[in-house]
Amino acid sequence: MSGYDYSITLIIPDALRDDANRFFCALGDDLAPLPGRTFSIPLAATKDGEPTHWLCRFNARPSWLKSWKEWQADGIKEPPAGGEWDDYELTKAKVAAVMAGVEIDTRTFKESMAIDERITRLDPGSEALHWKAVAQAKSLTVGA
Amino acid sequence: MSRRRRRLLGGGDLLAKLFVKYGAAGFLFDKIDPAFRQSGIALQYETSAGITAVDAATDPVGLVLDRSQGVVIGAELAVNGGFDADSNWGKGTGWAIGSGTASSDGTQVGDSDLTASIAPLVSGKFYQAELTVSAYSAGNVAIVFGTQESGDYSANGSISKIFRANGTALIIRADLNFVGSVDALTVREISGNHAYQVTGASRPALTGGPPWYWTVDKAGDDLVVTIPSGGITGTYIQATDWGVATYSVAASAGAFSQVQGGVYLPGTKIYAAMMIDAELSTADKALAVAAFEALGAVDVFGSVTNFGYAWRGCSSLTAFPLLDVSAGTNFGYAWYACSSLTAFPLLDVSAGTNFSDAWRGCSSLTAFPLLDVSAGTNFSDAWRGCPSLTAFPLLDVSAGTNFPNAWFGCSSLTAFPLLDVSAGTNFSVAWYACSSLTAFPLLDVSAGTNFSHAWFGCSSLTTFPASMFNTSTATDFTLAFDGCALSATSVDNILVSIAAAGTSSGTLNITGGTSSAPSATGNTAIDALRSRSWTVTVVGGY
Repeated sequence: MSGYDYSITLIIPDALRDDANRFFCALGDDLAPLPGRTFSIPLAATKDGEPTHWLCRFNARPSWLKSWKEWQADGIKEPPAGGEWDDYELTKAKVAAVMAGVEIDTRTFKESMAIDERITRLDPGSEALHWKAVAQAKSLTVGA
Repeated sequence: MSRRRRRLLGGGDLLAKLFVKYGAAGFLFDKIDPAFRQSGIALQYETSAGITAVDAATDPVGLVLDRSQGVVIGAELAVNGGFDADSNWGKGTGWAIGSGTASSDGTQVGDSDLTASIAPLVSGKFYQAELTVSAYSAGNVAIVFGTQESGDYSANGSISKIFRANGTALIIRADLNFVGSVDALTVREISGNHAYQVTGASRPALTGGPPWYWTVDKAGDDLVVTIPSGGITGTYIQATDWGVATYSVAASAGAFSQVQGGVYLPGTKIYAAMMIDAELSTADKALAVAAFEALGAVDVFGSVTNFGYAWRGCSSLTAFPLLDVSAGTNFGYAWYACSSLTAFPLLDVSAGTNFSDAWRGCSSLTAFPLLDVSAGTNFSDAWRGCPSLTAFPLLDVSAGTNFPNAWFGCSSLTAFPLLDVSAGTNFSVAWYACSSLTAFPLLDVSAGTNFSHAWFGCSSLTTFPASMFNTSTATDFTLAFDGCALSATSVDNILVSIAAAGTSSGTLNITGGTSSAPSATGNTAIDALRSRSWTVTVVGGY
C-alpha cells in the first residue's frame, strides 16, 4: 500500500533503550520477542566509544506521524498492540519517559532528496543520508 | 546463452529451474516487481505477518515468499471449512452453522469468535487463507491467525490472505455489528524458505521501478531466512547496486540474515538473491549472474572506492570471488569476521590505503595471498584474530604507519617474514599472543614510538634479535615482552638495544612467561636505562 511518504529517524538515550524497545513492541511495530530490537544502531561520540544513544529509522505513513504527535501531546492510554502495559514490562511512567526522551526527525522524501543533489528521484537511498545527518547533527557516530 | 544451454534449462524462469535441475533446496528472491504474481499470489508483504501486499515504492518489505521451488501450497488444513455440518467449530454468541454456511445474526454484544476446534496452525509458519463473505448486511468480519487479525471485511466477496501465524488458533471473528455469512474457508501452508523481518524499523523499502529493488538504509534493515535443519552448503548469489557476486556458502540451520546483518552490505540496493544447496557449475553460475544482471544489477564493483564493512560478519561464506575491487581505497572492516573463509583470493587491492580490521576475525584462514597492499598506511587490527594462519607472506607494507593489533592472536604463525615496516610508528599489541612464534626477525622498527604489549603472550618466542631498537625514539614498552620465553641472550639483546637508543623516562617490562633473567650484560643496560629515569622490570627481579 502506498503512502509511506515520511522517513522517520528516532534517537533514544542509552538509559531508555530497553523501555523504548518494549514500547515499540507495545505499539505493534516490533513483533520480536521482548524486549524487542527497534533501536539497534548504537551511537557514540567516537567510533570505538560506548553507546550513549541508540537510533532507528523507518518509513511511515502520515497516520503514524499523526498518532505519534497525539501520544506526545496527550499521552497514550493502552498498548495499541493489545494487552496491558504490564505485558510489555512497562508502566505508564516508563512510557511517558520514553515519549519524552525520544528525539524524532521527520523528513518527506522530497526533503531527503535535498540533502544530496545526486539523488535525482524519489529514492529511499536517501534514507541512509537522513539518519546519518541526524546523528552527525548531534556529533554522534555509529559506535562499537 | 548458447542454444544447448537454453534447451537444458528450458529458457523462461531460468533461476527457478536451476533448483529443479540440481534437485536442491534453498531460496530465491528475484521478483521484486510488486505487480508480479506467482500462482496468483503476491510475493512481497509489508510486515512479517503478511496480510498486506507491497504495491508501491517506499513501502516497507517485511515478508518475501521464496520461489525457489515455486510457490508451494500444501494440503487443506481447515476442517469443515465449507460448514457442511454443524461440527468442528466452537461458536460464540450470534454464530450458527447451517445450510452450508456459518452465519452471524448480530446478537453478539462484542467481538464473537467462530473457533476451529482443532487448532491447525503452527506458529512461525506461513499460510494462505481464503474465505467467502455473503449475505452481508452490517459490521465487520475478520480471520484471526493465532492472535493477529487479517483486517476487517465489510462486504460480500472473497478474502484471500497470506500470513505468518503467531499462534495455533484459527478464528473467524465477528465484531459487535457483523451480520452476514461466511463460507468456503481454506487454509493451506505455503512452504519454502521465506524471508521476513519482524521489527518494523528494520525493513527494507521497495524502490523503483523498473528496475525494482529493495533499499537498505544500513540502520538495521535486514531480511532473515530460517535455514532448515541440515543447513545449506552450496552457492549464494547476491545482486546489489555494486553488481552480482557469487559466493560459496555453508549456512547452518537457523537464522540467516539475507541482507547480511542489517548494517553491512556490498551496496545499498538489493535486486535479487538466491542460495542453493548445491555448488553450481561454472556455466550455471554464469547463467545466473546474467539473469541477475538483467534485473538491473549492473557490475560497478570496479568503480567502488569505499568497501568499508562491505562483507563484515559474513560468517557463512566459505569462498570469496575474484571481484574487481581495484578502485577501492577503504577496506576497513571489509571482511571482518568472515570466519568460514579458509582462503582468500588474489584481489587487486593495490589502491587501498585503509586496511584497518580488514581480515580481523577470519579465524579459518590458513593462508594469505601476496596481495599488493603497498599503498596501505593503516593496518590496525588487519589480521587480528586469524589463529589459523600458519604463515604470512612478504607483503609490501612499506607505506604502513599504523600497525596496532595487526597480528594480534595469530597464534599459529611459527615464523614472521622480514616485512618492511620502517614507516610504522605504532606497534602496540601488534604481535600479541602470537604464541607459536619462536624467533623474530630483525625488522626495521626505527620509526616506532609505541611498542606497548607488542609481543605480549608470545609464549614460544625464545629468540629476539640484537640491535632492533638502536635508533628508536620509543619509550613505551609497557608489558611489551610479558609472557614470552626469551633466552637470556634475547633479553640482553632487547635491553642493550633500547639502552643504546639513548632515550629517557620510558617503561619496559620483560616479565612473566618463561623468559630468562638477563645476564650481566643486560643488567648493565638496565642500570643505564634506570639512570635515565626508565622503569624496567625483568625476570629475576634485577
